[in-house]
Amino acid sequence: MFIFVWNNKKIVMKIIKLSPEQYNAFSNTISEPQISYGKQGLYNPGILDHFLQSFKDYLSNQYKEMDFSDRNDPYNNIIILDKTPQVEITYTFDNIQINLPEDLKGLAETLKQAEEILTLEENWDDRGGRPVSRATFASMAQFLIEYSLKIYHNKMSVEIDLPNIYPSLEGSIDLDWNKTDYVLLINIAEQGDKASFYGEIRSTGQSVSGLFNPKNFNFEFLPQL
Amino acid sequence: MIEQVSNPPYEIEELGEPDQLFYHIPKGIFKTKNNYEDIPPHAFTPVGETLSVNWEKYCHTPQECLNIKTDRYPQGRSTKTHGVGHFIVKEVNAIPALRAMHAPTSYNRAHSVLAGFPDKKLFRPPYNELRVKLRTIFKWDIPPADE
Repeated sequence: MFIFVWNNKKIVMKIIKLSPEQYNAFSNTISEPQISYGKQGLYNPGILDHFLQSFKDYLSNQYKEMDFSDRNDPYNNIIILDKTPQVEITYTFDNIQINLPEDLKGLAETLKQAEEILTLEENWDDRGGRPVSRATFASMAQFLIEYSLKIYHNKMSVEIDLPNIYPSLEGSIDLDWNKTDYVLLINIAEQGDKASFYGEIRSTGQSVSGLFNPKNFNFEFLPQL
Repeated sequence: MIEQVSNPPYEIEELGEPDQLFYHIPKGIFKTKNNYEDIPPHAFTPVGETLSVNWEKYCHTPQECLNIKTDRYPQGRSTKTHGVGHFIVKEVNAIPALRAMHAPTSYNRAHSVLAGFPDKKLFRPPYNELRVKLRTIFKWDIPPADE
């Protein structure tokens, strides 16, 4: 897959799984971008030529990063030049049905396994713990998928870190990234409309915390793993 | 109701920085993932505003800590229902907002608390931070037994 990311001030390019066949195929695809969309579903055609030339230069090892700060494009365009259709998988839970890129198959599996927390009964934690409701789980799943998709598109990576999903206090759910180099804990309330988080880089102790609404959150204000 | 030992009020003492504070974790916390090395943050949620622990000065071993009789566990706990590990006082006190204190009761001289949790915990910083940091410094002594 060939991907350009326009991040308002800089374009950062990554080529994923570029095989010789893909390299050869590039000449056939570059003149016909298949998908283009931006943050608001907008696309600035004027940028495309610039992207295409940049990509040609990239393949010639001319440079790895390019500064477009003078273009002042507000749309955060993402242009995918590959003609190959994306394989998608579907995660379903109650009335949720969400298609995910195949790269996020692990996320769907994690969510499916986590549905086991719905079987817990009163006092599951020996401390008066309340069961997790299906509505809370659905809210958590929708948030986690949306958050993960944003990370996925933001990183342009085929892999994203997956959290452990635990039942928690008063019917809430903990999303726990307890990783070697960082930790991020997000607690989603029983009603699904409130959440709190704490994140820390282990090597430096740099930390961040805050509150947000999982149903209407600003990605830029959350840790981006 | 367990038999309450009629002791005179114990004096509150200063905890030593290198001392261990034993802490029980109910096995139920691990119900959905039976991996005792990956401890859910909820294991470090106190029932009230303080986390109860037992000071090694008067509760000398992890097993002795498991054996403590309470109203809920009149025969003491066992690894069928709980695991036990410890914190180090110095490491607890290094966490901002948290303080380890001796808080003896008439029937448990070892009883101590980790104080500093917000009253209504959800959405009150530093609730999440405290759970994360306590997990980092907690060390198992006797994990729960597998079935």
